[in-house]
Amino acid sequence: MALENASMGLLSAGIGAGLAAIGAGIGIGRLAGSALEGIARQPEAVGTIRTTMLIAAALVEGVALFAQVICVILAFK
Amino acid sequence: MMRRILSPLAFLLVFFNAPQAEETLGDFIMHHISNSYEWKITPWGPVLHLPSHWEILGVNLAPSLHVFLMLVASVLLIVLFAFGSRRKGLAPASKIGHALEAMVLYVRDEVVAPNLGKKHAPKWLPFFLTLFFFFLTLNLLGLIPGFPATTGNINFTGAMAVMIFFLYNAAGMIQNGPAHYFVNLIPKGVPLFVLPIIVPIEIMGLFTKAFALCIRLFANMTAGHILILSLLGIIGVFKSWLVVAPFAGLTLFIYMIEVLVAFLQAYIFTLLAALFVGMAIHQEH
Repeated sequence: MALENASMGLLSAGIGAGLAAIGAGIGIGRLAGSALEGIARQPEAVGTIRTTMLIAAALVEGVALFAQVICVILAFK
Repeated sequence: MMRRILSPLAFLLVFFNAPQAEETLGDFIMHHISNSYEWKITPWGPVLHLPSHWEILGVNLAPSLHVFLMLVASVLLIVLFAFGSRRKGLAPASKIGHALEAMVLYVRDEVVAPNLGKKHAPKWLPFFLTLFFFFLTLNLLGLIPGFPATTGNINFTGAMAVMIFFLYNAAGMIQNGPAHYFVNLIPKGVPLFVLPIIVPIEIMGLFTKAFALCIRLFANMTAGHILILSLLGIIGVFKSWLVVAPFAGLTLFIYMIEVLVAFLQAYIFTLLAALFVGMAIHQEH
């Protein structure tokens, strides 16, 4: 395994992107699960729950995308 | 019936986004995402050349492709709203008017009014409406095959985030007085020994909020475009007609998600900007 800088950068970018995807998946998955439970308990609150879920999902996804952007920078250095 | 719309649509998407000969996958993706001074609308079609040197006071202010698309989006919005705001009595007089009014009312009642309070909402409403519709139009225009993606340019989202940063700080300082604005950053009722931790965090928080706005929009749009272009570019890597159908179908599915993401990201940017301005104006923690 040649451990020069460029290949270490690519390897770490790949691992980092995968970890970021795992984080996003777990976070948004739990969020959607709680939203579904809330809708099941109180169907008339669907509008509020849906809006809040989408906002929180966008925020969680933003954090995962920070990590992805750093991985892209690593891959191209 | 959906199949009759979807298969020609998938064909058109593949056709107009197709990689040309003698291009690697990386070049194909980067070529469609980066900014330039000429615009090939279709792979065989007319090429629009933009001036690449336009010096004003020593600064090169030549409009590049993304800037040109901002101009196109502005003109489109002006025309659309000038037509859509015609009214017949109290109701809009056209179908576009009804659709636009629904979105305007949504932004007014769900985004601006809850965050800014009844007193300030009418003053700030035009700004947030402009922000929302400008971002929405740019996101959707970037999805058309052949059109460049302005919101996928980090300079554009960075400039917007810097503008919002100055905006919410200035609004807070004008409303509460410059000194009180910074003093009120510290929540009430904290013991004195956590102050050295809280003060740097709050000051950094002023910057990270704007930075997060920039990166969220940029990364969402660019990641979506890279995904679509990669899926279509894989067809070029395989160089066979058999793989076209499944990849075109998958690309179409991802395209639909990208349309949803376009609406959602425009809404989230506007909502967070309204939230920050509201938090700066009403500083009771």
